[in-house]
Amino acid sequence: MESISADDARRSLDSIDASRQELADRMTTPRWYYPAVGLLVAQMVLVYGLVGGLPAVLSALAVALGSGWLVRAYAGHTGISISKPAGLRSGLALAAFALAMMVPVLCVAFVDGVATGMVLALALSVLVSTVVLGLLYDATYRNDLRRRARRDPA
Amino acid sequence: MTTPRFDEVVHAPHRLRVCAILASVDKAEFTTLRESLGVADSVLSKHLKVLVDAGYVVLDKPSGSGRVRTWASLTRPGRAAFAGHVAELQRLASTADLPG
Repeated sequence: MESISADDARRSLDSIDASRQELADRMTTPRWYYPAVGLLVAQMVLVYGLVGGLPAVLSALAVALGSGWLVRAYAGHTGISISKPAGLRSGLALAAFALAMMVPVLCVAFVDGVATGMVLALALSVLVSTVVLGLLYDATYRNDLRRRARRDPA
Repeated sequence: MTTPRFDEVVHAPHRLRVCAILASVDKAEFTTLRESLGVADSVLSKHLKVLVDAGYVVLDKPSGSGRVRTWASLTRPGRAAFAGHVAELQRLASTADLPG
């Protein structure tokens, strides 16, 4: 085994830290990403709440295909693919993001007779909350990555 | 808990940084790694080959529209080796802090 000093070990740990910091700086989500996700879910809320039937099935299909395309486009843009939060805070932010998308969809899908005005309000809320909570998740993810770099490099 | 274990393959500076990045993500594109490290294609290719030969990294070139990109990801043994190596570095770094 190669023998290294404590100072060498510290320098190696510092280089790991620097790589993680650089990675966190690189993680910039394209401006269109969260609005596109929000529009996909908002159309689903509108179609489920106002139309139903076969169009609702097609709407869900559009969400499935569209989100798959968006994930690939994100990876192509950043050169990085991520599927898990980087820590507790980003995990909570991701849970809030998912809830903000799911609750309006579940409301219009399973509650009978939701008023048109309420459906429109839910669609607008899901669009806004997806953008706001998506950006919050990004910021929290980067902070978790930087924090983890300093505290637990592995 | 991770057992500290020095790993010669991981320890080389460029490979250590590649592993540090890949341990934080599912996969990273070749160009992203090259820009992060600030090295030439040939240098990164050489280090990735060492990691691939050790079974620590897998390379993927998904076919589809547009230019072919190479993606790298850590294998399970690669993640274990990196975690063990970092634990060993932390152990070594802390030895100088001990009194006496």
